[in-house]
Amino acid sequence: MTRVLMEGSEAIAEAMVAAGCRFFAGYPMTPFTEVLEHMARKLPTHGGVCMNAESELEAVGMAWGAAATGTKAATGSVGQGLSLMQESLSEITLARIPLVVLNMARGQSDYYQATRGGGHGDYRHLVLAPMDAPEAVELVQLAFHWAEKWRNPVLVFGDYYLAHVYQSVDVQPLDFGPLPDRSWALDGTSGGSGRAKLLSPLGDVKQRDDVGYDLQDYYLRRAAETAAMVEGEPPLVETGYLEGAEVVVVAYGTPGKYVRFAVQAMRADGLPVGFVRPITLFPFPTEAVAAASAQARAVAVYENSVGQMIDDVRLAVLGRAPVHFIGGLTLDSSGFGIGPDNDVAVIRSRIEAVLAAASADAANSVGRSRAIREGASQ
Amino acid sequence: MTPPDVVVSRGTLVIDVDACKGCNLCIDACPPGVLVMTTHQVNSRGYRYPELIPGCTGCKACSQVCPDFVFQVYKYETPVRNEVAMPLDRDVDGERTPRGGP
Amino acid sequence: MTTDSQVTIIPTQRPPEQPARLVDDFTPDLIDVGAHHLCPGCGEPVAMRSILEAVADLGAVQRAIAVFGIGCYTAFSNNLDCEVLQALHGRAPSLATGVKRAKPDLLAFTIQGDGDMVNEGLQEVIHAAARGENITCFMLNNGVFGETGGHLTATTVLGQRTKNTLDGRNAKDHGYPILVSNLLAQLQGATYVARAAVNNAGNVAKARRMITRALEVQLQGGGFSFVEILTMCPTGWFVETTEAPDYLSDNLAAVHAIGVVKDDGG
Repeated sequence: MTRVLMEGSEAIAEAMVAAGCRFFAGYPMTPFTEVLEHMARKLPTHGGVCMNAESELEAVGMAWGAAATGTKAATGSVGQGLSLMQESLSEITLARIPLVVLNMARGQSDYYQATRGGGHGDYRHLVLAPMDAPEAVELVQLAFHWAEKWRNPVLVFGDYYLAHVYQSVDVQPLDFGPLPDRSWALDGTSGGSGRAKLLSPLGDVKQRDDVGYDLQDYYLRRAAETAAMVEGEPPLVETGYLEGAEVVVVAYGTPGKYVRFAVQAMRADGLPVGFVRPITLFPFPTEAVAAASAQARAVAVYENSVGQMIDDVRLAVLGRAPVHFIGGLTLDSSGFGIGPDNDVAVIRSRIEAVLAAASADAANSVGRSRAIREGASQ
Repeated sequence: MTPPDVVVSRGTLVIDVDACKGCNLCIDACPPGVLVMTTHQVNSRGYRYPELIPGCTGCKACSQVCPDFVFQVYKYETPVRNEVAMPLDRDVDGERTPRGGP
Repeated sequence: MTTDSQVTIIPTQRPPEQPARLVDDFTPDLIDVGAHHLCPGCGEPVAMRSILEAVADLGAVQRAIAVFGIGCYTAFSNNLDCEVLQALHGRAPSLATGVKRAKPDLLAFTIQGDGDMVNEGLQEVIHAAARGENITCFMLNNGVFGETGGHLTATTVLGQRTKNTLDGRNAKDHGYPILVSNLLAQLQGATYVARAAVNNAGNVAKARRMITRALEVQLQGGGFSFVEILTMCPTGWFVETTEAPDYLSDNLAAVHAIGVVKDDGG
């Protein structure tokens, strides 16, 4: 094992190369820029191509074209750049083309974009949210595997911390098992055969009067394939200290690592708290959150946004316990730097507040029910 | 009685009548002017379509301008002589008569 | 019946019995099925035929990938027996770039309309040309957005009536057309730029030569090649099918001049 100290952007680039990525296209934007720089430097040394696209629109287009030939391809940006790519991402998904997409986000306000998809139509992307560089090294490679396994784009949700924090990582190629063949890929060879291949968001067979035209049929098949993907890939999640937890804290990505540390420290002090850290944002670990909430007095959600993942938490909790938002936007004045709230002491104090309120509620409700019983017996 | 005229055809066509959408581009494109649109006959889709009269040179102008792939063009090994019952008059403008009319 | 029953009609239901050789078939090899729903008199299938014949003649069928934009011609992609990658409106050049950069041995070409390339996707083709991407872009230019019914595009000529410029395009309200071949020719990365038309047999033959040259430039690794092909759109132009060829000459070709604009290929 060779551990090397490197910034997260470089670790991600190394992981992409280890996964077999040989085409990358991007456009600079903070905090994605360094990934592009690393790929521009590394890919050619592995016989790959890194394109400096004229905008994010063309970046996703070039990656689309490369992926269509069966080449392992990726692109990425920040949420703002991904906004530009949304139409293409919807169509790439409809065309069933594997692609890995990075969002090196500013904060966590792109959760909706990542999990609901910002594009049109009924589509889904699998979304992975690493909490740090070592986990990113694994999840980036998993992303390439899933993309090919399901013939679907996979999004890796990173952030400024992940991009810029130096950590020692050991990037080894990981084998996640066998993959289906790439007979769908275009390489020209089926030309002139009478059944030349088509790769299109509108269908996988020619649509003409003589062969049949039915776009609805294609969309329904795509929907079925999407459902199969969602059911076939169980959510990834990390949970901890749930035994007897009165407050369960849900957080993902870099904040997830902070929350995990805060909960660990609180437990060491005897406070009954636990955590659930979604690793796949889609499919969301609904059952894990539901199970954790069933035992708890309250659920707290910490995310660096005004509240997006909290929707999925509420859906999972389904009223079993009150859900409290303890997150919020936390950036520096540049809008994409490190915010002051990502601090264990700050997070801990917010969890403690929820814990205190939950205990008080519990005491009150015991008092209320005693009063009701006493009142009734009079 | 006018003796029958002889027109030499160096080529000929197979016309896929049902492929035609009646655009008439072939009529104007044909250098010897040997394509005439039907007047009352229509194909299975309701379009009028071209017919061939003697004098084809096998130049394939028709097939090259046709948007609907109506024509197959052949060149005879030996030009064929067609006797035409009625000589094809030309008016002063050099237009051939008769043509597809109303 | 033809007008005069005395006119001799040559039977044309079957191939001739006299010895003859086939000089032009219904469809070239790479067109599976000729039948399509494009309007009568549309020039696009004529242009497509030329392109596919050129690909076949260059022996590049089994390494050809046609990247399609979105327009009337998109439906015609279903008629082709070459591999097709469907792109979004205006975005074919970036996809073709990805295809060619990932697999340089492939013959990657785009099929786009004027609305697709010059409106939605002008940035894409300019950058592809500027970078000297070794792809070939084909633009079918009829001066309208045909698929939506015949609306103004960036190549519509002054005075041209379209559904949203019913009194004719005027410079004050709608600005001037973009002559995209001339624009691209100014970029150093563009090796071969030519403008063709399919409104008569002579022009079709010329178009074929330009198309072949453009594809040869790609096959030789010569950089970016581009052929703009003016096509008839009687529907979009509000003219009879028989008037469309002249309309093309008198209006479109008068502004978007036919000819080789640039040839720096070896």
